[in-house]
Amino acid sequence: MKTVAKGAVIALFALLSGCGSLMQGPADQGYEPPGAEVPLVRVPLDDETQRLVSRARDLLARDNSARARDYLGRIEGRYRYEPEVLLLHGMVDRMAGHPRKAMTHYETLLQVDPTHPGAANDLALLYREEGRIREARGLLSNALEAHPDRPRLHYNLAVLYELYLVELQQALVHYRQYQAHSDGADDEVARWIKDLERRVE
Amino acid sequence: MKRWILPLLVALVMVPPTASGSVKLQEGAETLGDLRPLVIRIDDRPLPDVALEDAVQRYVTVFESMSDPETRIAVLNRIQNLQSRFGDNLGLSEAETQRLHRQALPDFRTLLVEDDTKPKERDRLLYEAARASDIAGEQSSSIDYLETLMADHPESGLVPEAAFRVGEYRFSGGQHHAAVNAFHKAVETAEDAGFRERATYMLGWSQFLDDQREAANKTFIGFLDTHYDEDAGFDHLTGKAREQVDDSMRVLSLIAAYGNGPQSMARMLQRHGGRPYEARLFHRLTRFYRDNSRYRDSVDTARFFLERNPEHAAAPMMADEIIRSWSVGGYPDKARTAKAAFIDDYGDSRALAALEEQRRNRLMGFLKELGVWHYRQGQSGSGNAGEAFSQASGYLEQWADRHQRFSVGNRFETPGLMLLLAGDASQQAGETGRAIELYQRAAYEAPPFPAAREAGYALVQLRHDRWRAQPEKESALDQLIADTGRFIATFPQSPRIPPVRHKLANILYDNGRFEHAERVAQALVESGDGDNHERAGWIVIGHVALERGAYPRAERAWNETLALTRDNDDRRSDFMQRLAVSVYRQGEAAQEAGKMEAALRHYDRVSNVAPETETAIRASFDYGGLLIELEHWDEAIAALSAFRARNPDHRLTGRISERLVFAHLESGEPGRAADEMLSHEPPQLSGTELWEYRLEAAGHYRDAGWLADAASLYESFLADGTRALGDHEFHQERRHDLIRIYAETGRVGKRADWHRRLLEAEREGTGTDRSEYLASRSALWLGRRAADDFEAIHLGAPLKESLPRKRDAMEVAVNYFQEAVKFGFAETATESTYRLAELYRQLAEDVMDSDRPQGLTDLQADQYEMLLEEEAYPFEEKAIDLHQRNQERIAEGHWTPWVSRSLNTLAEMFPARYQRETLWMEARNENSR
Repeated sequence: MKTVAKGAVIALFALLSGCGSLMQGPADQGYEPPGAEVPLVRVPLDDETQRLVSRARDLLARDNSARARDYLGRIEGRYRYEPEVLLLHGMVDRMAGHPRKAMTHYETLLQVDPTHPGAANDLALLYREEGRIREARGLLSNALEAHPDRPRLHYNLAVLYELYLVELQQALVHYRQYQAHSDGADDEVARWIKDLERRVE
Repeated sequence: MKRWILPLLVALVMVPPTASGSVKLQEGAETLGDLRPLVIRIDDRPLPDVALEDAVQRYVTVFESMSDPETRIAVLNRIQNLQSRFGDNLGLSEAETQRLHRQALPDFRTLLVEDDTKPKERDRLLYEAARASDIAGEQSSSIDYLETLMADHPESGLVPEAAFRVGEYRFSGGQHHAAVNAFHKAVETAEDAGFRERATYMLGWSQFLDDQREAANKTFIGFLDTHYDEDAGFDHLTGKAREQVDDSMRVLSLIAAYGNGPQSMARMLQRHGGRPYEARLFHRLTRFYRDNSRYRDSVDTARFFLERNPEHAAAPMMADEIIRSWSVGGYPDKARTAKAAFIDDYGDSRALAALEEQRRNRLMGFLKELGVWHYRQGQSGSGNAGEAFSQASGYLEQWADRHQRFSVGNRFETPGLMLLLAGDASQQAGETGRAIELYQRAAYEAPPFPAAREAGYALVQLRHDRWRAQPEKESALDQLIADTGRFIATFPQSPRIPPVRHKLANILYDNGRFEHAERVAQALVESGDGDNHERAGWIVIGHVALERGAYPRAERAWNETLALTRDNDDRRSDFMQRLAVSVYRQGEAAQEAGKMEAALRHYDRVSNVAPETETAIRASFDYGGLLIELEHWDEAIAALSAFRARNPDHRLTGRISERLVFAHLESGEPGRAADEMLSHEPPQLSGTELWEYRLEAAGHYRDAGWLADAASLYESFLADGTRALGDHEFHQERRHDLIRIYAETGRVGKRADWHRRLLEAEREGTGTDRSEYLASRSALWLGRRAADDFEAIHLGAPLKESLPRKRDAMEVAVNYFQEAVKFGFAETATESTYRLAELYRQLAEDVMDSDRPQGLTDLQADQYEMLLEEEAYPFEEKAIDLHQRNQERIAEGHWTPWVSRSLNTLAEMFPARYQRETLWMEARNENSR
């Protein structure tokens, strides 16, 4: 059993002892993480936790990751492995300059929700900074299969193809998807598309 | 004077020969006629009144005074009677007696002439006349009277006597035939058996001498028959009869000897129908021959008898006669052979018991004699000594076996002594097993005798020899030990005990029987039998104690041994060495038990108790070793250094350096360790080993921070040692070591030099992954250094002058970078690519930033700018190409910081194509798009 999965299982046992009627099967996750042996279970947050999460998110939006960490630290232990909480922990650590810790939170989150678009996106970007290009591509592609309408995922995947993998055709596809799913067409991206179209030709 | 039988017979009838007698004249006798033969009374009454001599003299007086022939003869008869009776002349000399009888002869003639003599008295008168004539020396007249008597009075009772005397006379006169007739007459007429036997005896002799041998045989056989008793044989005979019987047999032997000896004897007996005393006759014949020096005939006779009568009761005697004849005849060899045969025939217990005592004693004597003789033969060295000793052993043992029952030997002839001798003989014959048995019997089974302990000792020696011959045979050792122990227990007073114990203790020890060996050795020590044996005991105790790990006891034993050893004794050094070992082992034991302080004390003590021993040196060495083990580094270094100073040439000194190096290293002094290594390089190292050793020292210098020393060793190696040690990669690593050292010491020139050397070596050699990697790093380093030089060149006007210099500098850097890239390692290739790109970019910028010529018009200035841009553009393009090359390496799986930096530079140089924003998740909205 992987370390991450083991930690999650311990948490789940704690949850089940409190309210054990919300189990879902692994098929619902749509993603089987490598080495995962035990299905993970999601638990709705209670109000207080929702409040703490919202507060932390606000503080992050104002780049105050330190305060955001304080709020997250007040969340009860049984919710600490919930996707919303893990995502915020990842964001806090990334913004605070702790990419390794952030990666751990994102990876844990993806154990619970393998196609979580936020976690997949940020973890892919962190992987990219480490040169783990193919893993980054896998995360984004996988997330896009579950969430094909997420322009951010398309954008970052397009950049990955264009600059790092030098697969211009694929970059062109995802820039176009990005344009398609964005609320308004991005002119700069439109120029890139034109440039790529020339280069591809 | 021959005694005449008749008066004697009368006297014998009357008086016992031993009685003392007296003569009494008849009281009241008035005339001589009244005189009558004296009555001799033998009683308890007082001695006679008149002495015999006086009586005889009175008769002589009467004889001479008388004239009547009858009276004179009567008186003469009385004198004769008295003389015969008492066996003495009774005062009359022989001459006087003869004179008296001669005087009486006329009286006889007178009476015999007278016819009135009564016939009955005439035969007596003839007889007395014959006797008187004989006494008077007129033997011929005497014989005439006797022959007259025989002729005239054939019925007379005096005829046998007369015939006998005639026979004697004729016999002595050589008239054997006449004698035969006379004796025949005597035999025929004799009434007295004894007389007849004597006559028969004389008849036989006469016949023999008259060449009537068959007749003589018959006569003598007859004579023997008369004397033979069925129960007693001839043994009951005494005196004359015995002599005559023996003489008869002698004559029979003589007769047989005239013929074919035993064969003739046998035939004679056959003719007479055999006799129960035949064996005596043959026996006598053997003796006869022997007495006449006819030894072979004697032996042949005995053999003749034995062959025909092997089971005869007299057979042993006859066999014995063979021995005697050969012995007397001076044939010792034949005698021994006969004795051996005798022993063969009668030596077993049953036969021996059946022998008469005399024969038995002789046989016992033969056993001993032959045993001793063969023993001496063996000793003499002549002939087959082994066979001689073997035979000696057999006889002597047989003697001992029979001794208890049969021997009457003296007290010194104990069976034990003979068994000891027999054992010795067997041993010398090479019959070890038999010798062992005999020694055992002599020492422990035979009645005790003074030399028994010698037998016991001989047995020990023999056991020892046997075991030495078969040292692998456990049973031989067991027997040796058992018999040795028995010897010690049985003969505690033997002076051989100490040496035996000495030997036994050594043997037991040599064969791993330590407990037993120690007991024996302890006995040696306690007995205090002398320095040598006592010392031997301590030596064994010392050895055993060492073997069993009882080291304090061993120490004591070796100390005692040394105390008993003279200063000039060759073994002293050996004992000293063992003493040293005893103490040393105590150190070892303490060390094993974890008692390190005690171990150190013992090791240190060895040098005091046994200085100048090898073990003392060893202990001193281990003392230092133990200090190392205890991590007493400074003490260990001091002890080991002192050891080396004291024992510069000892073999262990060669190991000191190694230990010192270890101690220096462990004490945190790697530089001193390296110094030690280099100052005491092992002389036996091969070239390869020597450079390994030195490079190890170099490593210690590096650890110590003594980098100059380390660099010196590496450079020395790369100059002189590469042929001896290592391959190309190994050599490159050492160059790399030098590069690192010079990097640390800030010696840039040396560093650059070794980078170049490394790169050159890689160009020349067959590279490995590692060596190529190192070479790529050196190329990169040299490239960076060249790039710095390039950067330092300012492009000043006129550009045509400065630009070539800068290009040249660049070319150097480019070459190094390109070379680094060619090695194909992502780490160095991406950096080289990046730096190469940056070189071009820098060149382009430098071109654009270069000094503008002075005094240009605006148009000229614009044209110049265009020229610069055209000049710079290719460089920029080249830079972009190179960064793109790094970009392409991402897809190849190579991601390095230099790739990332290339991407950043591309974004900077060509933002439209490479400047891309990163879209992180937005915190406010989890579902941000």
